[in-house]
Amino acid sequence: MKTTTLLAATAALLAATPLPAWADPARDALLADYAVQAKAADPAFGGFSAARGQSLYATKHADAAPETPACQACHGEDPRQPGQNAKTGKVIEPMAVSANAKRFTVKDDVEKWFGRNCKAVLSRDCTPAEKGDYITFLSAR
Amino acid sequence: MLYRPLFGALLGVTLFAAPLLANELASVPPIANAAAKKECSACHMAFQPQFLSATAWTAIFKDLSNHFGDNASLPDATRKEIEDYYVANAGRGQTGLLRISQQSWYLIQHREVGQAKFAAVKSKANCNACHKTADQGQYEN
Repeated sequence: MKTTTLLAATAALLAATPLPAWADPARDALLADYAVQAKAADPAFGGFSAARGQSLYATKHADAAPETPACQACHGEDPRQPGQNAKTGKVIEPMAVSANAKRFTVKDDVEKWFGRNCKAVLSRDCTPAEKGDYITFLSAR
Repeated sequence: MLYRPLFGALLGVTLFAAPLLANELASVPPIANAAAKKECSACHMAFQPQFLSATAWTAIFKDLSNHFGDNASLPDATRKEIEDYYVANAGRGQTGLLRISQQSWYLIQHREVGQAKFAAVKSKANCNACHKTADQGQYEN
């Protein structure tokens, strides 16, 4: 019953946001899932924030490896442009959903990259709220 | 491009008890395993299994969470599938060297490539910056 309430609350939150042309049901489901997890971790959770996601994307971390102090070290200051792996130079497709509609549509891939890159940049796992903020930011770009 | 068959072959015969002739590796089959193709090309070009020995590949897949300093961990089933493919198709390079770029045949073949040129392509992992058909296993030019 509690889950139902949470899902309804999530649906209401998502419905309040106008859906852009590149909305994707898989991405919406992923966000809904992170919202449920965020609420479970913190009952005061009040929805994802593109502004917090943007800050997460840009913030530099002094204790990270020198090549990867921030998400944008590889993904670029403008997430609508391709990025470049800071060590190997391999081109990375844009993170912004407007430029790359495939972003955040395969749960296993999303979890794989958060798992690797949060540890590399933040030296810890990202929280469900941070993951949702990040996707919300990049879905709006 | 830098290939000199006679010199390379002679040097190989002279230096190694079981010579690995560089011309064995100028053309290798493209990667035929879909998971390997996808996962191993996420951060760098996917290197063909023939470039390292089975022993070296086994050592590499044993610790993907510290993959030359980066976290490249994969779900166990995926890792096993890819490892099996690499081991089954491995070549016969020096077993103790885990970097392709430190194998004798690699050093011989690239002896005329200066540091500046390597620096310009960012990393020795970027084979395809010079060998345009590297991802198809063709390194002759």
